[in-house]
Amino acid sequence: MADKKSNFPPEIVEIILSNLSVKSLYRFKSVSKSWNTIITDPVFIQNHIQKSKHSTSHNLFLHRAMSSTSSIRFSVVKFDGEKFQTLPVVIEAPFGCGLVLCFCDGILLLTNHSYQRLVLWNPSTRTAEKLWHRKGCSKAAFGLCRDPNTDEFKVVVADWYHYSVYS
Amino acid sequence: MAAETGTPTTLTLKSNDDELFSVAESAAILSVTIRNMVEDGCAGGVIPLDNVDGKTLASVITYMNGISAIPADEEKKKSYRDKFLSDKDFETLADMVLAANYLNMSCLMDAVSAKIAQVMEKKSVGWVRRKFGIENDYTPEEEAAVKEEHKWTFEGVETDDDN
Repeated sequence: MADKKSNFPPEIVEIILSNLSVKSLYRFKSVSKSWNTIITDPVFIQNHIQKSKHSTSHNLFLHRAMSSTSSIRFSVVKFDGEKFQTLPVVIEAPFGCGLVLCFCDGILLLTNHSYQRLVLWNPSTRTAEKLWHRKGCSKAAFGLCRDPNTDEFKVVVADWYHYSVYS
Repeated sequence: MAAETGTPTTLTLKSNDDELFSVAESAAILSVTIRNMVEDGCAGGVIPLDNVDGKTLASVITYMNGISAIPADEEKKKSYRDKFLSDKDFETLADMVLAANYLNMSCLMDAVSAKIAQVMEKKSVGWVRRKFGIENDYTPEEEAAVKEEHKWTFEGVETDDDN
């Protein structure tokens, strides 16, 4: 029966993979080229996000951890319906930005203390992208949303004098 | 369900290694594949299931009987499924997911694929390749590059338990 295992049809592999955490999915991109193709497929990714959103089993929160070193870290906290439990995972904030402005679909908009820098961060994949921003704006309002047509995130920054939209 | 009167309420299923199983029609029609056969009136004699071996079919029938004995209570059904799958090894789960797919049993399919994913969660890339029978088609350079890109995902991986 050992050979039978290689006969997993791709659609079944896809269903199994859709149950995995992002961490394992990123690790299993190195299994083979075809697995990498499944895992990086935009439709697969969207389905995975929707599935995670509707799952009630893993409510994870980020908690800004105090640390004596200069780096800013977040710990991951799990809420199991009754109590909060801190998981043994620590994630370093990207580019020294530890202030969370807003979030959408697992993506966070972060800034640093001087509000000079804006960063979009996905803690599940540990990827971050710097945004260009013309000046510090601690009194501005920030918004983040995903455009369902283009699948791009849009950041809105509005202060007294002007507003800007970033894609 | 049955178009004709006198349709037996017990069905006989045959595995691909010629084992015969009797199962109540009310439990067997959890499989959409079997239900369609019953509705089309082709379930009079023995129903051959060419893609499922006897060992797996016996297990699937245990599940069919167990889950259909539980009244419409999703909590209880879920805990039955969890318990049913808790002692199954990867090979058994793999056979079951293929059987559930062939028999078109969505509740079993969902539960088994979630269970397989749970088993895989902390496993190494090598373990997954062996268990799924996947040939590594990356060149060493390509593989190193993909791994390097997602280095942090290799933290906390268990030591392989299959060799």
